[in-house]
Amino acid sequence: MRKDNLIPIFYNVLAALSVAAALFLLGLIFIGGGSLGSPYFMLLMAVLLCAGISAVLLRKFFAPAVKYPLGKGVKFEDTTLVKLAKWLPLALCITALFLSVLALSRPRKEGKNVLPPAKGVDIMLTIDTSGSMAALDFKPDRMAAAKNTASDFVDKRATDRIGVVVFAGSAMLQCPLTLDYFAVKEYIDLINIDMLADQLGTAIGDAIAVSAKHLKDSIAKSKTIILLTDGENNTGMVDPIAAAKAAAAYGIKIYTISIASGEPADMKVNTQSIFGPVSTTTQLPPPSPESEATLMQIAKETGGDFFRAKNNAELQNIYTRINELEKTEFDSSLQLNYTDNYKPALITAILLLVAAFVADKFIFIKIP
Amino acid sequence: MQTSDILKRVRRIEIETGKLVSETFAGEYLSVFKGQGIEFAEVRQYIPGDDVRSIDWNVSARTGGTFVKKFNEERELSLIIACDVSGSQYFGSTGKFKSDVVAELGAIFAFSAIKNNDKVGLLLFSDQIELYIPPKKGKRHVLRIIRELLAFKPKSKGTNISLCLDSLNRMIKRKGILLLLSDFFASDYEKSFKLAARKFDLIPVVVRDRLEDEFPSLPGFIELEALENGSRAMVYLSSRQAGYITADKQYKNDAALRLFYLTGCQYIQVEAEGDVIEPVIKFFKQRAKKLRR
Repeated sequence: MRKDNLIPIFYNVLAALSVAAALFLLGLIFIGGGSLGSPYFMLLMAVLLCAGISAVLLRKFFAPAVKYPLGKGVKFEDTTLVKLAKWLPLALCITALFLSVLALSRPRKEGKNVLPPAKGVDIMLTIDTSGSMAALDFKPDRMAAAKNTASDFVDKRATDRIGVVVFAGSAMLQCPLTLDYFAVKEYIDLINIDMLADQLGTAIGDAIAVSAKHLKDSIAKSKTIILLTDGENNTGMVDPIAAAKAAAAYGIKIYTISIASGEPADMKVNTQSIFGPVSTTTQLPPPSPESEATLMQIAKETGGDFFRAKNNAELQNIYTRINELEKTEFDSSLQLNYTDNYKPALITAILLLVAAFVADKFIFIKIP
Repeated sequence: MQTSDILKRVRRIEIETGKLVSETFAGEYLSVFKGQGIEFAEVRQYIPGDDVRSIDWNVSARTGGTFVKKFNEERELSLIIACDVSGSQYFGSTGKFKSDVVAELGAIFAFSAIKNNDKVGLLLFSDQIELYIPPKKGKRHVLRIIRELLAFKPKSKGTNISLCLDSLNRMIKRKGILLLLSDFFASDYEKSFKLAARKFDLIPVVVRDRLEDEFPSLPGFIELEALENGSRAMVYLSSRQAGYITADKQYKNDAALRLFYLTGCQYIQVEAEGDVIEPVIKFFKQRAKKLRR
C-alpha cells in the first residue's frame, strides 16, 4: 500500500477509536457509578470495534459501485459532503450497535439494603369492635385510638407476619397473617364498630379461639396475640380461660390490653326514632375488676402480659413495650438492590439506527 | 458466457446483419469501397447490345470476327476490423455494453465484406495486441470473427491506440480498409493515426455511452469503480467533480474528432443506447456523395 493511501486510513482508524472512547465515556455516564449485570457482553465491544475498523478499511471491496471508464489517472479527494455520505450512516450504525451492546451488558444502579432474617414473629392483632368501643374517653374515641396505635405498631415491625382479627359478639378474621403491611394497615383502617352483625357483647373466648386457629399452624419461632378489649367476656361459645389454655398449648403468647379510662365514659349512641336517626349520649360504666382479672389470667396462662391503657399515651406506650418485648433478632446481612438502567442506552441505540437508516436511504442517496 | 449462448448470439447477429447487408448496404458498400484498379478478364465475341467502344479492333482484325475486350474491377480488398477491447469498452448504461455495439458494427462490416468477395481480418487490442486474425474470405471465417468479438476475454485493461495502428502499419502490406472501433479514451496516438490514415482507407468508429457525456443532475451520490484499474471515486451527481469526470471524456472526444477532420477521415459515431445501423447508413451516404464529387 502506498503512503498516500495509508494517511486517510490512519485518520479513519483514529476516528473509529475516538468514537469508541466517546462511547466508553458515554457508557460510564449511563452506568453512573453502578456496575454491569453481564459484563462479559462488553467483550462484544471489541468485536464491534474490529468490525467497524474493517468496515472502514475494506469498504472499497464490499461497497457496491458502478463500473465506469474513469480513466487511469483520475484520482479524487473526497469532498466533505461525499465523506459524510460515505461514513455517517456507518458511524451512526456502529454507534447504535455499541450502545446496544452496552444495554445488553445490563448497566445498573446499586442500592444497599439490609437483608431480613428468614423468620420473624407472627402477630395477630385481635381488636374489640363491640359497641362500647365508641366511648369517648379516648381521643377521638376508643376505636379510633386503637386503630391508630395498631397501625403505628405495624409500622414499627419489619419482618413479622401480622394479621387482624375483629370481634364483638362473634369473632372474624379481618386480615390473614401477611408481610404486606400496606394491606394490613388498609384492613385496620376498615375496622369500625358496625362491621360485625352481632355488635352487642364481647366474645373474648371466641376471639382468642379464632386468632389461635390462624396462628397454630404457623412455623414462626414465636406466635403472639395482642388482644385489645374494653369489656368483659359476656357472650360467645368458648370460655376465655379455656381458649387461653388451648392457645398456650399451641405455644401462643397472648398480650392483653384493657382499653378503658376506669371511670364512667360518655358514649354517643345512634338510635332509630320515629323522626329518623337520633344521636343520644349515654354513660358507660367502667369495666369491672372481674373482667380485668380475666384478662390478667389469660396473659398469665400463656406467658404473656396484661396492660391497662387509661388514655392514648398509655396505649401508645403499651404497644411500644410489646414491640420491645417481641423484638426480632436481625442477622445483619447485606442485600444489594439493583435497578437496571439499560433503557437510555437502548433507546438511543434505536434512535441512532433510525437516523442511520434515514441518512442512508433518504438523505445521502447512493446510486448503486 | 456459455458457448451455446455465444453461438446463439453469433447466429442472431448473422441473421440481422445478413438481412441488412443484402437490403441496405448491397450497393453502397461496393460503390463506396473501390478496388485498386481494373484488370483484363477475357476477350469474347461481340453480341448486339455491347458497347461499341469496347470492341478490340486488333483482335477483331486478326481473327476476322468482332470481339470485345472485358475488364473486371479488381476487388480483392481486405477489410481489417481493429477493435478496442480495453476495460472502458465493458460499460453501458442502457442494457448494452459498448463492446456489444462494437461487435454488432464489426459483424455488419464483416458480412458486407464477404458479400462483396473481400477479405476480412480482425485485430483486438487493449494496451497490447490481444488477438490478430489475418484477412481471409469465407463465411466460416466471418463467423469466427464475430465469435471472437463477442466472447473474447482481454488480458489487459488499458488502451493503446498507437500500438495497434503501428502494428497494422507494419503488418499489412497492401492497402486496404481499416475500421478502427474504439471510444478513443486514449492519448498520444495522433502520429500513428496520421500514418495509418495515409496508408489505409481508415474509418474511425467512435462508440460512446450517454453516461460518459454527462451525469444526470440528481441529488444523489454515485460510487464509481474505474474499469481500467479498479480505483474508486465517489461523487455527488450535481457537483462540479462529476462535471470534471465527463469533461475529461468530452475533451478526449473532441481531440479525436479534430484529428479525424485533420486527416480527412470520415468517422462514424455511435451511441450505445441508440440505433446502431442509422449512423452507418448515414456514413455510407455521405461517403457516396463525397466520391461522386
